[in-house]
Amino acid sequence: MEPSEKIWVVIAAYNEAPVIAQVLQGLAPYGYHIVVVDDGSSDQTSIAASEYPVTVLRHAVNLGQGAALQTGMAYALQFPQAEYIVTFDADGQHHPDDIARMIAVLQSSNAQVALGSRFLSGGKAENIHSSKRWILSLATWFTRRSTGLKLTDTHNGLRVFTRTAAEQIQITQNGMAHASEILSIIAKKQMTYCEVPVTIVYTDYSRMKGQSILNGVNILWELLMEKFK
Amino acid sequence: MIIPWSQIVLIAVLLFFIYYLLRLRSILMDRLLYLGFAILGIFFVLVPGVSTKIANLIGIGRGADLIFYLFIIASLFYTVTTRTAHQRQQQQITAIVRQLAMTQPVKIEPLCDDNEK
Repeated sequence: MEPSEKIWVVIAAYNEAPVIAQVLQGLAPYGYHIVVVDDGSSDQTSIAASEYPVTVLRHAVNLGQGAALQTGMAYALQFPQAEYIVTFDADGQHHPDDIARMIAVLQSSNAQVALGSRFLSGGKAENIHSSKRWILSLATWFTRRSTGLKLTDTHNGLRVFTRTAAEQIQITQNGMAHASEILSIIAKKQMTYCEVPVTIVYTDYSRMKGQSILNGVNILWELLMEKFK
Repeated sequence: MIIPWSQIVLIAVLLFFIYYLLRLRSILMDRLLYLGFAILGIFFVLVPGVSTKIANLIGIGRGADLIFYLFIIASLFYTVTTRTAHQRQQQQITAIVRQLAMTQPVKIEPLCDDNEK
């Protein structure tokens, strides 16, 4: 097992003041380096996060989750001892103990990227709404076709990159299309990847903030507009 | 068989524009195109009737219709160029906000001695 000081956890947070404390508290026992990127929140997210021994960066304006993750990853990579970069959600949907498991799989399989999957056997999607599951299946199918990656869960925010993989990732999609962009970079650069079963917990809070079907339209639009740069 | 010249010409022009937008773009070409549209517009105003003659050549009934189609194409062109200029600006904003975030952190995690080696 890798010593925790080589592991950097990047958390993109936008208006998560109610739950960011719990998330940071849940991660505290593991001793990972944590970077919270406050994506221009209008609430007390930065202040709440600053209560903990973590690094807090703040975007002056809201750019989007993709931009926030890129900022956090770029920050973490400045430290030469950072061997693993983890993307972790700020809304409490992710389980802290999944991080260690994903790193263990990375080490034993020698892969460069570990992607969390709630649909792999052993994974869990607690309290998932049936419509959400249906939408995710559609999104997963679409993303598999466009990237060519055989994944069971294409929209899972829990990922672990080795340093070499993270250095090759430049997220240019500021918005929610970043999830698809990360996968297409993995496919294009032919990075070795593996899927690890993880637990996603849907609470009333995260459900309220979750993506709607209409956001799928936004993502498709953003990806399409990429072509016309 | 009557060859639908007007349709062929219009579709060809549209396809060319799409191809241009995807592959051939450059600032110079954009400006030349804008100038071209402006000159064309002035020409049609200065020489009355010529638009109708050209329109009839390719099978469109009225000169006004031809000008209308050209206007649609020019509008689409303007929309796309404006949109991509906007995207460039967004990239610049992102770069600035990112640099600010990284050089002026709200908090840097405290160094713990027992984490060294």
